[in-house]
Amino acid sequence: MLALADCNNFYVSCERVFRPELENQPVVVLSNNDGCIIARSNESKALGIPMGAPVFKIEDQLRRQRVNIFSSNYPLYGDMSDRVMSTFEASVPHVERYSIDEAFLELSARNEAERFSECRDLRSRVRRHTGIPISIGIAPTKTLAKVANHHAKRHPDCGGVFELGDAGKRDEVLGATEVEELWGIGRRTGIKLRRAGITTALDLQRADVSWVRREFTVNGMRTVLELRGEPCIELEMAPPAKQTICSAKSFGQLIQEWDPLASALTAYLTQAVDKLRRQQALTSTMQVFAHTNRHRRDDPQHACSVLLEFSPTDYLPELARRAVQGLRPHFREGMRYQKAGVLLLELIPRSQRVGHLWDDPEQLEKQDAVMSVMERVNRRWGRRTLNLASAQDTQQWCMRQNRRSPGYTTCWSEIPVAHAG
Amino acid sequence: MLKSIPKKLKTDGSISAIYGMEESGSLELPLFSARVAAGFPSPAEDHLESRLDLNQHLIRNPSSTFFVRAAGESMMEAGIYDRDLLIVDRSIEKRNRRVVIATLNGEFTVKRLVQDEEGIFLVAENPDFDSIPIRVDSDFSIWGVVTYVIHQV
Repeated sequence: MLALADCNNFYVSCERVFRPELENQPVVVLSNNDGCIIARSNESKALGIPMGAPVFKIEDQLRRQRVNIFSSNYPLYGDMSDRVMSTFEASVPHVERYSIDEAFLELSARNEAERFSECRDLRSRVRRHTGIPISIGIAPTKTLAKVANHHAKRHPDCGGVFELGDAGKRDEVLGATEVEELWGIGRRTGIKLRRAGITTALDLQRADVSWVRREFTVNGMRTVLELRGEPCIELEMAPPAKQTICSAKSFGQLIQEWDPLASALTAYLTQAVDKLRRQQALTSTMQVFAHTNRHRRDDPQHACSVLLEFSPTDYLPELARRAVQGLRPHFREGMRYQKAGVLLLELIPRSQRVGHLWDDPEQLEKQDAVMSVMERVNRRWGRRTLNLASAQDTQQWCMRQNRRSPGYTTCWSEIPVAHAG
Repeated sequence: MLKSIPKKLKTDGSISAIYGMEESGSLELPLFSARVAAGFPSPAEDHLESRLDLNQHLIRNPSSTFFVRAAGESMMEAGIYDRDLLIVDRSIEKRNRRVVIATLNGEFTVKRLVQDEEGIFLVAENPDFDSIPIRVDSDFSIWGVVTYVIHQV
């Protein structure tokens, strides 16, 4: 049997671990640049604050209802996620880390009672060790485990654990599940299914498999079989190494000059190269792009993009020079740029670096030493301590994060303080 | 790199198994950068062990361990001084007489947890400070157990 373990309102829960007084209080977390709401506590949901709502539209409501507002603190969420996942890994034989706050687990227990107590124990262990509350859905397939998890969350009397085992119970729950809520059913597929009279998960489970295959490809068919309890989507133990790395963001404000844009680009590239080196890879192709805000109809629009090729490297200064020089001729004075980014392509493992005759081994060694020093300094003293000079001019493009919580677990100067007074 | 294995393999039994090579596995071979010491090989080479690691000594369960800064002097006799770094493990059982991080009315506090016939108390380790009795209506919970103090001398 499989289980889907999912952290409840994960970003909010992370903030509450270090601000316990916010328990039972309405809390929301905002997206990058404090644009819209991406996480809500149950109390905020009950107040009718919609997911994805732009903050400027509901600022009055938030203030009136005394909602606690946080900018997103991804270093914190990433660390807390890793703690939760490691706790899973120490407890059950196989874990697939599915997203920042969800994992599929393979359970070892053989009957329903044993599974139930195994999951109950896991749930309280994660809560005790990390402070994060989770819900667990148990079922024979991944698609059903998702449904079971959803049920566990919506029905507090389950105590956070629910098994979708025997057929009777399964049909009842599937009948109460809208078809769009299913894993793998996108908005478009949902509309198409509704047109064909399929509105609940139970309808889809009972649909004709060959019809589904014809209309919705093999992926749709898999969903049907999974709903019937036949596992089609296996547990992926080690996620494949990334084939591309992207780092792109909207600026805190629109940019009209080249220098701040180049500086933003360098900073985003720095993050991409950090990921590249973490997975011990080199890149030999890079796409660099920038564009204006398409939603501002009255602004003149411009989008530029350039593809650069070179011999495999992970050396930031060289990549930064290429990116900045590559995009410079395409930049147009006077446009109001909203976003820029880089995409690293053609990744190869560093161990497969093919030595060219004209590669100077000593040069490569020096470059690697520079990168290692930079990484060590930044790991110790915080990100961006040691940086390329061209990434320093942060004033215009830096993310707006006015309400970000401290780096409780990622920055020495921001760890929690306990009063002994 | 061995990629494909013949589908039908006749064998006289001397081959018990054939394994495909893992393509993702990698072996670091420093192609150009290896510097070979020209003198005598180190007599310690065969006895290399990893150097002592403080993390290993101080942190039993990394995923439940957090660092917290102490502020104030009420725990001096327990060896905790102002600005000291506390290592806090949430997975350890919150037993009587342990030094704990508690949350009281929304604030983190470090004290010794004492439970006796008179009730639950957060006890200071400094005669100048009073113990705090935990009342039924106190907004109180135990956040973690302090396992080590790092103090700069």
